[in-house]
Amino acid sequence: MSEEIVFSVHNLNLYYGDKKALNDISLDIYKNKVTAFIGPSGCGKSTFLRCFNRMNDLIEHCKVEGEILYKDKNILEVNPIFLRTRVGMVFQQPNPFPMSIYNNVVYGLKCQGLRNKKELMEICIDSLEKSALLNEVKDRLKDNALALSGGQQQRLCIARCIALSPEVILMDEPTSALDPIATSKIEELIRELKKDYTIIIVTHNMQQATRISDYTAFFMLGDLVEYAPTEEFFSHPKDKRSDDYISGKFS
Amino acid sequence: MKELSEELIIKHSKRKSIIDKITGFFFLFVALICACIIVFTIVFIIVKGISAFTNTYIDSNGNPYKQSFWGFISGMSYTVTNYGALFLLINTIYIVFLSSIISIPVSILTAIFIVRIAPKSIGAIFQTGIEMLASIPSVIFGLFGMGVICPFVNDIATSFGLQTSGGLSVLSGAIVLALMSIPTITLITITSIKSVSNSYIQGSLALGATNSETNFRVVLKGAISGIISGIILGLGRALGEATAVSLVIGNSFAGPNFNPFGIGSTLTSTMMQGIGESVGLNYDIRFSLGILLMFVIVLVNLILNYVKNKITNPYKKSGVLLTFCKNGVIYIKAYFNKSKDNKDEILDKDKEENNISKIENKEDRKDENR
Amino acid sequence: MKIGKLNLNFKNPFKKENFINEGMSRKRLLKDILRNLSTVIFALFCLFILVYIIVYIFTNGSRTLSWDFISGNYQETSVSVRAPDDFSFDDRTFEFTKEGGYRSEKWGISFIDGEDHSGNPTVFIYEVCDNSYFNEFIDSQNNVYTSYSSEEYVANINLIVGDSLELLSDNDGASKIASTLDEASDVTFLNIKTLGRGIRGSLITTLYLILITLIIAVPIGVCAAIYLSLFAKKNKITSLIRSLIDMTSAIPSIIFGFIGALVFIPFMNAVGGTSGGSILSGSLTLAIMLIPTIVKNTEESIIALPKGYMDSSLALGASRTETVFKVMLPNALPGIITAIILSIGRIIGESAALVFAIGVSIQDSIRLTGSSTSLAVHIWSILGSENPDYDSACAISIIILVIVLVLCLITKLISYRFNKKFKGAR
Repeated sequence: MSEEIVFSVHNLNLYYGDKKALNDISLDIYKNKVTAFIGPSGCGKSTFLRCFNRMNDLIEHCKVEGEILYKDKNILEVNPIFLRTRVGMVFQQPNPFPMSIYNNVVYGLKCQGLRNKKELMEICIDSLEKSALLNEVKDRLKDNALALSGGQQQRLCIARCIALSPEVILMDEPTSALDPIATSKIEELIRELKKDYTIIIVTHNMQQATRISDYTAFFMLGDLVEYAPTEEFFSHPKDKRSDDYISGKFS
Repeated sequence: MKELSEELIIKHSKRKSIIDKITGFFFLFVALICACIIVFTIVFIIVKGISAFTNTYIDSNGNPYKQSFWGFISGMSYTVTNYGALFLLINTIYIVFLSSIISIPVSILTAIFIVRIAPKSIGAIFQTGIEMLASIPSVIFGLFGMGVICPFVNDIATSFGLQTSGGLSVLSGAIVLALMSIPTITLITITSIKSVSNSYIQGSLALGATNSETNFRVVLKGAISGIISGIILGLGRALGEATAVSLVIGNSFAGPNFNPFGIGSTLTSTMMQGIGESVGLNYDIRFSLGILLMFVIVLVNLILNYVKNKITNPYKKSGVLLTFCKNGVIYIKAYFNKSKDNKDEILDKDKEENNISKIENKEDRKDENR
Repeated sequence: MKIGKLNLNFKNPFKKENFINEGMSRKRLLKDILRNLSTVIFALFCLFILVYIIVYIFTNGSRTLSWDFISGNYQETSVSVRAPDDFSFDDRTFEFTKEGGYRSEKWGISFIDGEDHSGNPTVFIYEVCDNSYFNEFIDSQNNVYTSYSSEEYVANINLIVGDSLELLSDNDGASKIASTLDEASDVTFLNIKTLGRGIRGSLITTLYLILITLIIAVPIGVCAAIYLSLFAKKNKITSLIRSLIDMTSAIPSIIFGFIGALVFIPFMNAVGGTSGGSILSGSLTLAIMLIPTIVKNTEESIIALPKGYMDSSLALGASRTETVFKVMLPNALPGIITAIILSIGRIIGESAALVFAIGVSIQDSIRLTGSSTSLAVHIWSILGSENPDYDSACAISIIILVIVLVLCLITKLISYRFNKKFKGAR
């Protein structure tokens, strides 16, 4: 394939204490594509996602073996704080901090020591525009972010992620706590964002994966069962387990 | 982004990681200091308390003398020649026991009223009242005890034809202690009653039990471990209470006194007695009383915790429910308070006893503790 | 409209339906009613005690509680003065500036009737004219005494009227003293006193104690709570630290008083140059006593924050330290404030520990390194004396009670608002 590779995972194993949660996973993530991780709950797809920005470091007794190459460097050896400015993450539950909308967006930048008010405002406006939120909030940037609706809050979380201009955005079931209308807005946004960013999304919803993703990885019990372009995966699954899952024999 | 070059971010990130490590160690250090408080407290009290028996003191005639440990631990009077503490120990336990007779039923019934009987708004008013009662400092309880409870006890004694020294008595002490421990026990009982799962309550009501039967038979049993925790805290407060008791108890120097209308003394009241002008052994022996007090508190805690584990909430332990069919009759057998490990044993035994081949079992393990 | 709803919900044991219920036997019904009734009675009993305490304190203390009581000295002062040996009258006249009072035109002084703290009649000095003969009087050291004030009352006065000696005291009344003075030719002895019994010293000490204790305890407690809730790994050492801190709160306060007497008083004597108990040693003692409370409350409020805050802040490239100070602490502030308020309540009410850690001597001039005592110990020490002064004990109790109950209500309000704020986010 001719596409540029962002992440290249080789023989990744992950343990929670003695329990093996991810089993010998190898795959490549392509630039400016949406890659969807699907699978039944507890299959390790979220755990795998959290390896890309090393959020698993925060979980105790969690041990990662193998390598994830990002720009030819193993991210397990990169400073995690730096890594997280390059690889942003959006969580399942929209969780803006209880501060103003503006402060939420520039939070990461301020942590990086950026103090120039004018520049911060520019980036803030830019990020909000990219996350399709600007029109709704431009008059109330100083209002508390908790006053926004669930869908708006999630888009705000995407905006504060974009503000750091990362290369990759990880999304951990970003629409599972939202209603259908808010979900469709987020999906539209994801399709828009993939022009500038590489997106990895964990989803529970197969329809969503077909709607937005370019590649699909199917996980089961800590194994990567199948990884293929989305169309190919859903039309001609190679593995029997994938076939069963797609046809709804289990979920 | 112009200003934030990659090198800059990497530099920032490295510095942040170092700062993170330093702050982490700093916070750990502070937490360790906090944890050390209790260790140092116990060590200091024990060292000082023991030194009262090893030091030599000079009495008012200029002669050296020592306080014997045996005389302290078995003494029935607290005088300059021998500071005995056994009677204080017995009297302390007696007074706290008397107070718990009052405080435990009052607290539990009040908690039931607040959570289960009163409508929500009235319950909230009562709960706020109890919280306010809990926040009243002990010295005000002492003042109330001297000004109201002592005369009250005196009146009761007179109506029985008994004499008191102005109402200063064991009974007054017990009542004041009861009033002080009621809010503690009540508030914790309220929390534990609230955490009893609604399904038990509905189950009981569905079996035709009245509301009050449900409250007393199901809710109280479900909340028992929380109630005992409350009692532990309440008795702890009563045992350690000093100022209020010292004002109403009369401070006798010999005993033990089991007459509720006679004057008495507790470990804490004796520690407070005449502190202003105390020197030498009279001062040092208070620390020995302190050791004794901590010993009693630990002992009461251990006993009540043992009781708590013994009669622990029946709903919390896993039970085993067996259903089987024998001779055309369906049997249902339930084993409560059997741990999970015993399950297989029970099943095997049942198989043998009932001559049945197939047993369907269900395990019921609920843990509603917050 | 609310009352109607309440009645509907109230499970009234005396409802008619309950009596008619045929499914229940009489005995069972009776038991039911008794059970419900007992809970009501005991709950009312608890409320009754609360009300009784408040009413008792207020009825007995409100008469004594006044600005003079709050701002006055505890120690009585007493001065004895007399007319100088070479005293004689000249033809000066006096101008009184204040209206009222019983005047002695001959001496240039006026008196007024008043009451002392326990309501006994006393005679206060009302006005002393600038050129009054009284301003020439000398005290026992033969120094001229001119600092008369309206807080002083006349305890005893010995006058020479004609050839006889008249002995008057403060229960003779202002008019008698003024009129006798007008007849007198000489004043051989005048004892003037101030009332004393004020609580200014103890009040200031209590305020100092609150301030210094919080300065010591809050940073330590908050840091420990941050460690336990955000930095600590879930291992045995953490749970040991946590349970040790928990156990600290089970130690009775009198034991902390011992630590104050054993460790902090000698420590402050060596370092701070104090002798015996001081505000500093008292504050240190209270600080170690309150740290568990602060740790517990802060930790709980941090844990109660939505878990996503930590993760999402870290995912934005913030460090743990930044997350703690920018996101977690500002949002856990209600918990920290609650902890501070609870601590203030306990400092104000604490007596047993302070009896040992600071001492029981009531002082008027307060130094951080000097001995003095807090309001609660003040109550304890006046109640423990030979003739307990219930009125001033109740008056101090009013101050303590009002503060403590208001603080109690504020904490309830804060926790209510805190829970409401994060209800959706959690």
